[in-house]
Amino acid sequence: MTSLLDVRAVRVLLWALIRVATAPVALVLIVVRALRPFVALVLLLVALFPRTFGDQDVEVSWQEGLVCVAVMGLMLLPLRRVLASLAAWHLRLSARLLGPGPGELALARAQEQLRIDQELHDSIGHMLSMIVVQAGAGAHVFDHDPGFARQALATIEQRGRAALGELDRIISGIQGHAPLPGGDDPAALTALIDGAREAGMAVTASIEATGLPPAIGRGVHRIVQEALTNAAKHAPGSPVTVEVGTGSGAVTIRVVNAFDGPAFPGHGHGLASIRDRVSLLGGTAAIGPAAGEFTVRAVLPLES
Amino acid sequence: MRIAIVDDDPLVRIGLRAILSSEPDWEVSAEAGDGRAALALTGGPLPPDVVLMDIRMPGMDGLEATRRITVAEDAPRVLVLTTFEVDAYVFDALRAGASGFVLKRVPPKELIEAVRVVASGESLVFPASTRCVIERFAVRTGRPLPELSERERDVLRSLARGRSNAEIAGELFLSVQTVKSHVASVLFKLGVRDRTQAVIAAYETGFVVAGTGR
Repeated sequence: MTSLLDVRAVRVLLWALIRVATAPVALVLIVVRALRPFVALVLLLVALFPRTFGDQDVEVSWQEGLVCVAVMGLMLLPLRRVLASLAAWHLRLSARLLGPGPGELALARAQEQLRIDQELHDSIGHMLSMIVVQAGAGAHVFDHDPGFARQALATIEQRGRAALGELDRIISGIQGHAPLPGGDDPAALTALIDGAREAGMAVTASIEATGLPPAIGRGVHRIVQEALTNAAKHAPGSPVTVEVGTGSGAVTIRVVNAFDGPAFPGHGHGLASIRDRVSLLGGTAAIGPAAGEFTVRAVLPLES
Repeated sequence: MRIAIVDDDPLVRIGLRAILSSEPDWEVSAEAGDGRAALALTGGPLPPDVVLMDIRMPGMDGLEATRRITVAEDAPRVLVLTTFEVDAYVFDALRAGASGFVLKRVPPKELIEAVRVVASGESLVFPASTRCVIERFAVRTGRPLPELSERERDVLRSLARGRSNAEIAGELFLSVQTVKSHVASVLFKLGVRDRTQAVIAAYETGFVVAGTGR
């Protein structure tokens, strides 16, 4: 922990030093850009009417001349683009220096894993134990106490259902969502996409996912949800294509949006949860930017 | 034989009761939902012979209840119920005085057998698993090893390997009766109440070293 903190302190200080150096540059560029029309107008007037606006008696020192040339040079630069790339560079640098480092990410993941293990251990393990005890007892006394066996079966059914609900809750926790009612209902997927459209996203959808097993249906729902959230966050305004298709024993999910920005670590969490969900369902995922697009592609096998 | 069941889940208690009371001459005489209630029932007029004890319970947990129950001279034997086998809590429970542990998921016949073995005290319950847990979690504490005769050392070594009285008799060419008396004197000299505690003592004194099987 101490070494993690040390590394973090160094990174924060480095960030502060860089900011001290780059802040005046950025300030000059912004001021020049803001004043450019005015300066251009003055220069134009001086050039056109030197007698009215110029003062030819004043000696211009070489330093003043240099400043004049520098300002003229700045005037000619594509300042809008320079400022944009300066900002983008700062964004990347801030993410690298101020964002969580590999050590912190690993620690966070380990803690999350521990939490999930513990939760599975405590709730699902407990419920399954009870179910096994009841099932064993029911079978053991079946012949001489059928009434008990019948009651045990009812208990097992009820607790088994509760355990599945619990499992869903824990897995939703891994994804960082509250459990979603009707997640296994294909209409819920359409509702999800409608919701995104209402929120202002341009979504083109082609959904072909009826009769999926509930766990897969919920998985598809979450993956699409996470991918849409990701697109809205990192490529606001760009059109998104959602395709869900079933065939040859698998469901294929493809969510694509235009994307040309830098890949900064803010991407990590939502996409990691897609990977978690996909691997939990025994599928494969390919996620990443390519050729001006960002694609989330997942294939989930259907049980035969 | 009287058995008490201590578990915070009433449905687990109902299931265990159905299994255990199906045995002739066995009676589930009491149930409790936490450690404090367990203390009250073991101190009652008709104390149980064996207590099945869950470890994790709200209020007083199974570890503390086991510790308090087993300090008495003629305390019932405690058989710990656990959901998971590889669990430091299981060792803590044995260390606290439990005679053995049993997974909640074992088939009813094995559960019954475990209770029978714990009650008789002639062998470890699930010797391989018990040894495994003790070997994994026991540390040499510097607890002194009392003066033992050569025979008693042989017997303690066999105990630590998880052997039953009958097996020890076969290995050492002794009668079961003789083995019993050696075991009794080993337990007495170590100051422990049963063979599970003797195995823990064998590791903690350094008489047996983990991994060597000696």
